[in-house]
Amino acid sequence: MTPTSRRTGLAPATALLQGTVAAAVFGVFTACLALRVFDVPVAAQGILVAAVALFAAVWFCPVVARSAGMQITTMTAWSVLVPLVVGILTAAFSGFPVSRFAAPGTAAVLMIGAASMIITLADRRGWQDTRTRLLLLLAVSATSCLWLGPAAELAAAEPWIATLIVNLNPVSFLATAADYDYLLATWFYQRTAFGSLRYEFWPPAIFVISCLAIMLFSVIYLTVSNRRDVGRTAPDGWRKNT
Amino acid sequence: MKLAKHLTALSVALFVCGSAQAADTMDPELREKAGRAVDAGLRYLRAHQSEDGSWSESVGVTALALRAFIESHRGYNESDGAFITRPIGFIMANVREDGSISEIAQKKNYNTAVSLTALAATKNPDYATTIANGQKFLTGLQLDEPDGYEPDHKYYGGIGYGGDERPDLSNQYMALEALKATAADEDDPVWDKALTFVSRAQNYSETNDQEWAGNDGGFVYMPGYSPHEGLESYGGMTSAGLLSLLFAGADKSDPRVKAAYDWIRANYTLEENPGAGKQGLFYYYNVFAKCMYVYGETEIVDTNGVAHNWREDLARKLISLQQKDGSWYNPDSPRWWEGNKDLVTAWSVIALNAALRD
Repeated sequence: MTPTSRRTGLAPATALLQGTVAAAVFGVFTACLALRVFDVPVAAQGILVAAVALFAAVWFCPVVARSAGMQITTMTAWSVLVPLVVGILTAAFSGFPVSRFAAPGTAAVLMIGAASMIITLADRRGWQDTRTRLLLLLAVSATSCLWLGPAAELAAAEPWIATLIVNLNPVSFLATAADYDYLLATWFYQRTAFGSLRYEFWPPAIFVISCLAIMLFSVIYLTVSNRRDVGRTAPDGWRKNT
Repeated sequence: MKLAKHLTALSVALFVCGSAQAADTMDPELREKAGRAVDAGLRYLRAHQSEDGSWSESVGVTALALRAFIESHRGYNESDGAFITRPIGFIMANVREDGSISEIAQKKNYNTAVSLTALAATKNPDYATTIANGQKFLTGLQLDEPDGYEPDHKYYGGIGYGGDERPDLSNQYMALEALKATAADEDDPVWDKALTFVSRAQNYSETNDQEWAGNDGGFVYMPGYSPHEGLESYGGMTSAGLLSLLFAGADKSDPRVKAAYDWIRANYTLEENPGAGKQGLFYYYNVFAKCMYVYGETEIVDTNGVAHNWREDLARKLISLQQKDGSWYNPDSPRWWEGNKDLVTAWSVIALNAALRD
């Protein structure tokens, strides 16, 4: 099996365009629906839209069969494009204040950047179903404050446990960027014990550094492995493709 | 009615000024024991104070502990040393540009409110500007027309944790307590708007226009929601609701006040937080003591006709629950931080201070 077999055969620009359209349609529809159905506080609306953009970006993330440089450029553009398009279009259709999207949207850019790089890197390694696994991981961690509430309550004597659970949640990064404690919002407060427990949000710098570290590692890995591949005699014309 | 209002206002003023006096409202032997319990609690707090003067690295807990010292029968003030001045320094170091006082961006109402109450207790005019800015911050949190809330909205007049999170009665009462303690303008519309929100958290359909409202006179956490059983009233919130009504200018002849007091009479107990079991137990003791002090009756005659001296009952209960190291905590439920000894000890000492005060 050649490395190109799991990748889109499209040029990066085309793959980027197609993916962005798909992510935008899915993201904007989902965000508008959520804003309409749920009574989301104004400060939380930007966080909700950013979270939807994150999931849409991971779900529709394209992987291009080109050089490391092209992959990195495409993923960087992808990370910025999807939240931007989803944020602006959702604001246009739903009327939510787009200014509320700036901080969580920026956080989403970083998270999408890290996730996209992981997907690209996994593809280079030949790992299967990375996107699905990543989505599953995101879904499980994003909802952890709901299903781990009783456990956190039992372990309330050790506040670091609740703090750890809260901060291993991608929604927390989006929320801290917006200075908003979503666990005290009515919906969460009524459904999980976290709002009544002691926890602390980690400084956003920790999340920023984590995302940047993942991206940096991925860039280095892609660059190095690309050089190694070029140096080898690749079968099935792989050298030509890269 | 006007006289009653003035008397209520006077008792509120006396309470928030925090003068400790001897009185005959408690058995002398029990009073002495309660005083010793306060001393032990304060010793615990002094032993667990951080280098920077804070407790639990929290502005809120620090402000409550500071208040516990200042309002105690020992009458501590800034001249007593670093254990009083350093926590004040910690609080002042966390004053923000928007007037709030908080070490974190969340829970700014709670932290600011208890900080203002503690700073007011020092009676030091040096903090006047900080207090004035804090008052503006708290009143600015109230949900009203500029925030897109019309008077018919269930959240109108409410104050939450800060930001635009939903309001609740607990945050509301703490904000009102701070505004009262810092002598906020009595003609400020914040009080009337607050009354609107507070009334909508009461299970009293005579004055509550919300469909869910029952008729027992007690209070829930926020309009249409209680973290306990259904929409049942419970002790902590009923005391917070009654205290809020009194702070906002309602007097004993007000039907809402009467209904809330009747709920307390019907559900009088210190064995648990009535309606919530052991959850929020020490929060209940704290707010119950302050509420009863402001209400101004030493005896509560329950609906079975039995008279209870709440000061003595509360003192006995808190003495029985004190740990050997002088602290208090809730071993049955850690919710609402009741596993945090610094916080619960501060709450308990403040409750005992209120019980010991005439």
